Amino acid sequence: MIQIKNAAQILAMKKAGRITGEALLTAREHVKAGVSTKYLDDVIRSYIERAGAKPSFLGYGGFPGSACISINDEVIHGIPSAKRILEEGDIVKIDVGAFIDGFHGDSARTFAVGRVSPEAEQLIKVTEESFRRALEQFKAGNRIGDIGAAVEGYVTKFGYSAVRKYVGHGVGHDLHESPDVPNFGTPGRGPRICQGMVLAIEPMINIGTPNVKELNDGWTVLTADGSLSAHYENTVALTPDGILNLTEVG
Amino acid sequence: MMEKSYVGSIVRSVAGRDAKRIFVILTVEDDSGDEGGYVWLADGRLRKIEKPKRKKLRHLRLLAEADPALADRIAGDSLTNRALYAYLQNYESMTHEDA
Repeated sequence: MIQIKNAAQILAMKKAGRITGEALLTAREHVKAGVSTKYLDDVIRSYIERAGAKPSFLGYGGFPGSACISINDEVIHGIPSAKRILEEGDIVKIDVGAFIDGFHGDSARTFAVGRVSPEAEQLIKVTEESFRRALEQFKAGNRIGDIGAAVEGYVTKFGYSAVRKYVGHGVGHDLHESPDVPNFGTPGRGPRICQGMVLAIEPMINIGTPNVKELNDGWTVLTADGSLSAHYENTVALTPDGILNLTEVG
Repeated sequence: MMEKSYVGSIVRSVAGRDAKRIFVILTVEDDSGDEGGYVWLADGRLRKIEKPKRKKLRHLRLLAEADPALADRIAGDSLTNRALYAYLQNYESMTHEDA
């Protein structure tokens, strides 16, 4: 069931959101060629714990890291590893969650490692812009399908595709709450958006087909055709004063 | 995800003749599909405890998670319509103060 948050709950969620956003900013400073994904994970865990929070992902469903770190054709859920080293030209997706005062924050960014190809650079920009287009639809009276339609409608203009198997979601006391927030959809369909909803809107955009496959580590999701994928996510709340982006800092 | 019972939760209806009204969940018939599941609701006035309303989860919004004391009274059959109505009135007055 979709949970509606009151003003006090949204206020409490700002803290989890801020720590999540700051952990991502901190990680960004360490993204460079030669660094392992485990090192980035350690930086993120250390930041979250020093802030008095807990990494939401650590142990979630048995996930072994504090952040999901996925490179190039890996879409989401990459497991941090000391053997996985960033290389010049890679794009790296870092997905972070922090839990404090009973609430989660959830956010992801795609970072370029050094200089990347023009096509990778465009993919990152388009994915971020698709989030902005989705956010314009996050208003009372609209439907969840309006969000997905905005993402898909925008990215297909570039020949890209939105991943269909994995979707955004509600956020609150639980990391994944109702409703599902797909990155595709039909305008005017799905649950009606209302004040007090808190969602993780997270376009996962592939240069090639929307199809994905899972590695046999049980977690890592890759594009089926080996094409590049980018991810951009924020936890956002709809308040009487408008949209509050809980995880965007700096 | 942690298993939680909805019994004793306050919800708002978003569909049907009772749209916009708030209720307490008395019984969960089927929450296996979450959005596809059913619960039984009452508010002590429009819908009495002895004649609750069956409603799809997808047509409800959760406003407040289960109050264990209220859930105990529901389980023990000791909740009256008058007390339930007062409970919801109290909730509404508190949330109005928040806003």
